Amino acid sequence: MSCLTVDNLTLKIAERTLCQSLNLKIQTGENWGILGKNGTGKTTLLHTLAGIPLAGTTVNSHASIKLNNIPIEKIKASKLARQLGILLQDFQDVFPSTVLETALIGRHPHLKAWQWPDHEDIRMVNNLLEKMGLAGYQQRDITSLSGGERRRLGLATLLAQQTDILLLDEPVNHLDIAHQHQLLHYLTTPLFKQQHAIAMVMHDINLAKQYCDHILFIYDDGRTLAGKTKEIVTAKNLTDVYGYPITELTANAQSVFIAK
Amino acid sequence: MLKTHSSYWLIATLFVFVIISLLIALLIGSSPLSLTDLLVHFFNEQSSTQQLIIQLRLERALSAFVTGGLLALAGTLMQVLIRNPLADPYILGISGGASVAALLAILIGLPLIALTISAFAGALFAMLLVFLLSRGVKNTHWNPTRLLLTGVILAAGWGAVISFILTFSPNDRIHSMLFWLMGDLSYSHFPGMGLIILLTGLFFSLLLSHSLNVLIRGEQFARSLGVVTDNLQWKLLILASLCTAAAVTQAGSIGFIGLVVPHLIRLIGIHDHRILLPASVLCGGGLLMLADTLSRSLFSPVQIPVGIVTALVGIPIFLYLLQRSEAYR
Repeated sequence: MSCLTVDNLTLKIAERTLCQSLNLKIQTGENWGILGKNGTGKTTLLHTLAGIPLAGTTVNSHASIKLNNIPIEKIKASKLARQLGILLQDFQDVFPSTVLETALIGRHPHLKAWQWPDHEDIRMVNNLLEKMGLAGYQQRDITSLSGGERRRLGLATLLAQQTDILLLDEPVNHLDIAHQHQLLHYLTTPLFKQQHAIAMVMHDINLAKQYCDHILFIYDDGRTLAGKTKEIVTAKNLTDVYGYPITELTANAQSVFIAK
Repeated sequence: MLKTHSSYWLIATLFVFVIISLLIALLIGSSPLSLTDLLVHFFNEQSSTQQLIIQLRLERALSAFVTGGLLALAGTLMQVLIRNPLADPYILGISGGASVAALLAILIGLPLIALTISAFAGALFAMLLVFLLSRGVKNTHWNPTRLLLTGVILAAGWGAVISFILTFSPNDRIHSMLFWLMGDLSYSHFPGMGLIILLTGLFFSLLLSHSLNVLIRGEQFARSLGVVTDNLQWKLLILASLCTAAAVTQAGSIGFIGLVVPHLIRLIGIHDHRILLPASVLCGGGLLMLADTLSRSLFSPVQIPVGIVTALVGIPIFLYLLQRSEAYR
């Protein structure tokens, strides 16, 4: 059972307040969706929660971010990387590397300086690649992958890190509709949820509503609203958050939010 | 990162390559020797012309090996540090500082030892300048883009100073100045200091090598995997700069080795820095020994700067491998 607790967090970037006095508790079994307009600080928040704040971010002095009741800044970087992992928004692939090698980098925090991945590591990574629909891609060079394939490789790399807490910055970005649902379905299967606490930045309201049990709204004036998906994901709240009229449609016993 | 038997084979093959390059360097030249000559005279106590030749060639070959190894090591580290495949040991202007100091020494007519010291001091000064300026006045946060821009601009500045010195130098000095700028091993002595810096540099780089595998994929990514990147990048900058300074002091600014060798090894499929770093050192050292042998024997008795040979041989090999590679398609 892991728990990431945020108390009284105010984030600023270049004098601009991104979120004001945020309180949040993300625990194993929960799947949080973070929604908000562009530039409201969703990525900045995720990086700060991961203990790797972006350059120029300032955090108020009374704030505390704790992982299982220990302030994250007190946890050694290599130890933190075994407990908490983050999927970044994009990748810098300048140098060649195969798909298998790249996914194995996820094992880095678990290996000593002169330790090479063993058969167990390779078996696990191959398994994850298969789950992400990348079976048979092991020897491909990463620069030859499409955007969606690269994204799924990023997820396989993150899952190879085997952390209890997963912070995902737009996990379904670049993915086609089938892969979007396959991935989110995988992340929300009971067995997976039992072992992980997840927070993901999303842009698709309907996917967030379908797969996340909790939602954090970030407004562009720094206010935040956190709660259960069923209670707070309403057309009115969404209209407020995005500053654009959004309405709910119901058809075949399914409801979807669309822009008016 | 996989450890496969091919990694061991690569290192073993490169060792053989280095030995063969050394033999070629010893045997070929304006007065060729046979393998029996070499064996007979190498272990013969009495001094003879052949023995003298062997000794001179051995010193020069060792000097070439150390310089090539230093350049390849510095190039590999610099490419990770700046995360740019075009980075080479000279990109931050360290060789520019060394060159200015060396040209001034040639201009004044200082003896070789003073030229060497002067070049090393110039390299260290240029390195310090990059450190201080890229760190910024109040900002202590690491920023590779600022480092790169600072270095490139300083390198351009050094280039201007070099041209200025060349413009005002008397004709009889220009020749040795140009040789120094192109990179030349003909005045090399036993590379004691260079060897020490190469070995310690390789040792400390190997200590960092596991983290380099992650850093090369991006700074944020490396941090997310528990690598303390600020610390690591300062160490990299210092290691790469010192190796560059030592190489330039040894033989002037020899091009292409530092840029091309790390890519050659990557193109074979080695991406793990725990193998890539030592393999680059061996490959760079061996290649420069061969290139130097060519530079002194191709147009014998005229010797051409080895930098010309590294360019003429390095470019086609590199282009050929690039055409075949999947990663850069």
